[in-house]
Amino acid sequence: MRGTLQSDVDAARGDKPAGCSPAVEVRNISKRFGATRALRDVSLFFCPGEIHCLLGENGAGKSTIGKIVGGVYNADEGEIHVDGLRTDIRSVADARKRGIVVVFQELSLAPDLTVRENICLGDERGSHLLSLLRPNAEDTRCRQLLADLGLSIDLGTRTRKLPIAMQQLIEIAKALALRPRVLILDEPTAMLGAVEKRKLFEILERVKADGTAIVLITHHIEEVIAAGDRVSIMKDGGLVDSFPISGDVDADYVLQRLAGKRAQHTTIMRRERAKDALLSLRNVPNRDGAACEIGIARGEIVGLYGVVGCGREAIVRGLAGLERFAGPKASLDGQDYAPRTPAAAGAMGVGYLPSGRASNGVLPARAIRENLTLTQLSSFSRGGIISLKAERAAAEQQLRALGVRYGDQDNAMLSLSGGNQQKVLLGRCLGHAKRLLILEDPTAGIDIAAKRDIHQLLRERAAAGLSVLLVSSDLGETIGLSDAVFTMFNGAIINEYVAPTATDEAAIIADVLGELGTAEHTHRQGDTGTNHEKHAAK
Amino acid sequence: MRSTQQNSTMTTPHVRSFAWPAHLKLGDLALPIFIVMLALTAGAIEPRFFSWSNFENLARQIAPLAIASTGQAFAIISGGLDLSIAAVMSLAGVAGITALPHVGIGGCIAVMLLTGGLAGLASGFIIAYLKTTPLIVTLGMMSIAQAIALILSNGVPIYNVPDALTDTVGFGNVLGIPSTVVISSATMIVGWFLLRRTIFGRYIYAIGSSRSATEKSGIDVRFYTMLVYAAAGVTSGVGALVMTAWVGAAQPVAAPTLTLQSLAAVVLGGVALTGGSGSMLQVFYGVLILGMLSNAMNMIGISDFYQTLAVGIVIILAVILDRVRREHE
Repeated sequence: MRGTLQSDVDAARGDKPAGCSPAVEVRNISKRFGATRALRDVSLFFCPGEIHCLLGENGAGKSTIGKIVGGVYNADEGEIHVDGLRTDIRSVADARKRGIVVVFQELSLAPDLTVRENICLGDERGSHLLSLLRPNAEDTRCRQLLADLGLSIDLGTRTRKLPIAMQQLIEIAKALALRPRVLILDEPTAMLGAVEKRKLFEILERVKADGTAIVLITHHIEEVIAAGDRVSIMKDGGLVDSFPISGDVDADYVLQRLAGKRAQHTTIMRRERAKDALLSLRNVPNRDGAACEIGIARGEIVGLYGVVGCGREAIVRGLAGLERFAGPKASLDGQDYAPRTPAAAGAMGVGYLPSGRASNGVLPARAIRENLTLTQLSSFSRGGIISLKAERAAAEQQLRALGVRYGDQDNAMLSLSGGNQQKVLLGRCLGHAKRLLILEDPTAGIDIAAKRDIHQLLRERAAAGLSVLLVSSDLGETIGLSDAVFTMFNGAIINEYVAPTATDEAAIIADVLGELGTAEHTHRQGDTGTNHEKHAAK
Repeated sequence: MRSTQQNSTMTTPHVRSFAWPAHLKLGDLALPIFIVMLALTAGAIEPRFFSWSNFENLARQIAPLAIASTGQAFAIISGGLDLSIAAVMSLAGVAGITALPHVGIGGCIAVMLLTGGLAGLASGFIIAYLKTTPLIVTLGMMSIAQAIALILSNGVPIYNVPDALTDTVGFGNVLGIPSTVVISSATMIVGWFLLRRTIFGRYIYAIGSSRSATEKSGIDVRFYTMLVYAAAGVTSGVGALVMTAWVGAAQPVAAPTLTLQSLAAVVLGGVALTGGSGSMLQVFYGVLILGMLSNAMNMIGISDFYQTLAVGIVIILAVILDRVRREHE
């Protein structure tokens, strides 16, 4: 398949493999948003029992396809065929009636409802407005569903109390409760750590086996290779290529098709760990329960890696001033450091870039400039009065230095792509970060080019003396950026890897799964709950 | 050819278009057009509408609403609201006039502003530091301020407002413009300046746009939230000054509908109730529309009952229009 050019072109045109009668097929779909052409003449088909990956950078049009098939948008041109019949899908409810369910990138769980209520929400089947809820029947159904998915959660827990990764899995369970024939997942792994990712793919394999057509929208090539049966590569609203994934398709090959060139592996200069710590965090338990210390020297990038719920959040929240440390004691530059608020942290030269760009970072109603300069207003004001001229000049210069692609600094923040928004937010927290920068998933959900830019920028800042604490779910990023990585499991520091490389990956994964001293594979087979959950349950 | 190419690459993207200012949207003109149409309609029915004396009258009539709406706008842009404005205004008026015999006119004005500011500061403190919702806290403050005003005054208006105050503030002129109009305009201009040109204003917009993001960016969200309500309280104090001087009495229940009217004016002007956006110009449009409606209906002789009905309809229409406009953006 891979070798012959003609077959690829056929695939791109939408020729089906033998034995597939597509559950959904889109033909010559185009869509405009104002001046932007989001989709250009795209034709695709989704076969039952197949995981079809839509791969591309942000803004390539992947999500738009999902939203058109899911009934959120109407296509300007083109046709949708469901089971071979031309169909108009007018709304999300309409799509659901036809068995098409979309799990959007943004979580749509009601935080104050329980897991059970969330899963059953909108699926009170055969009911009318005044029919009584039947908690017991719902309970049995949900329990069955979660068991099928291999998730062990108390149905009565309010979803806001669950880690974001678990919420994401519940969101998917909620979609599966509708028994979809076509399941569209938009970036389902953005919030997931390595372990949850594995869990998700296990679930998808099972759902696929029931004959559901799965559409996986992603920009991670590894996910495509790991889970996909077929990949369609999109770029600038058009379909570039579409081919089945067989044994001889590897990441380099897909990347080549995506970027038109082979991946470049950047080499990074590494330094010895410096002795004098700018930040030192004492009294953190290690694997034996004894107290240990994490230190970050000037100009050093230190990674903290672990699965959701491993205790890294508490450390970040403590350092950022969002909550008090329970056990650990921190000192910054030799002085005790226990900020009561992020503002107090900022005043001490600590900047914080939280995860969750949409809810914790962006000021949606404000301009790019105001989003950027929020932390630095005092440097171009006198007596609390802002000099707009000085602000504009500074913003212009910084936006350029950050490599933000923008039209006008007074344009709305939301007019920027995710990657550019993230660069602006990084610029914002650099306004405070004179000494220490705390990063939480700094490149989650952004395109490859922007990710590279941000990594480059962080290396430059570190070289100029800024200390960085990196907490990322992306192991490759953590290893690639950090001078040292601490692994965490169940609230404890497990190991320290100085100048880590890709060869440390297996050991790091074993650490964070709590598989102390054992090979990674021993625990895998037939194991439904993650190891973390098993430990937590003890 | 070559040189023009070079020129175009060298010019920054900041060459402003000469045709249509980029930041001006067609939707921004909707309210001014509506105001003109409203005026023309009123003038067609009642020609006296277009008289200088009526304009002066209109400007006087909307002065208290303009002042109250300025404070309300601060609260709404920060993502909250203030239901205590009218009650705090009553309290500030009663407190100022009660203190007047002891502290003189200057002291009386200071007491009014201080009373308003302190009431707002108290609401703000409870909202920001005790993490409570503005709706309930300011509702409680409304009741408390109203009660204290009634207790201090024994429930009757205090009439011993000195002529010096009524003559200068209530019915005086500055350069031919009524003092109340000068004060209300000044309040709105100060409001505009604070919102647009100061760090405080920038933080108000940021908090209203995303409280979580602003807090995590290292801004002292609680402190500035408290200041927002303190500022709204100070405008209530300014309103008290204008009301007492104009009416010639400190009334324990000064203008009970003013709070809801100020909310209406702010929303009508197109300031998003979700916070984070909106300008004093929009607030001014809202105030002007409400003021003109009531002024015109008074002149035509429509009863109060129908006026209230009309105002309600206009407010709901404004919210629907706002929603439609937002969807098109």
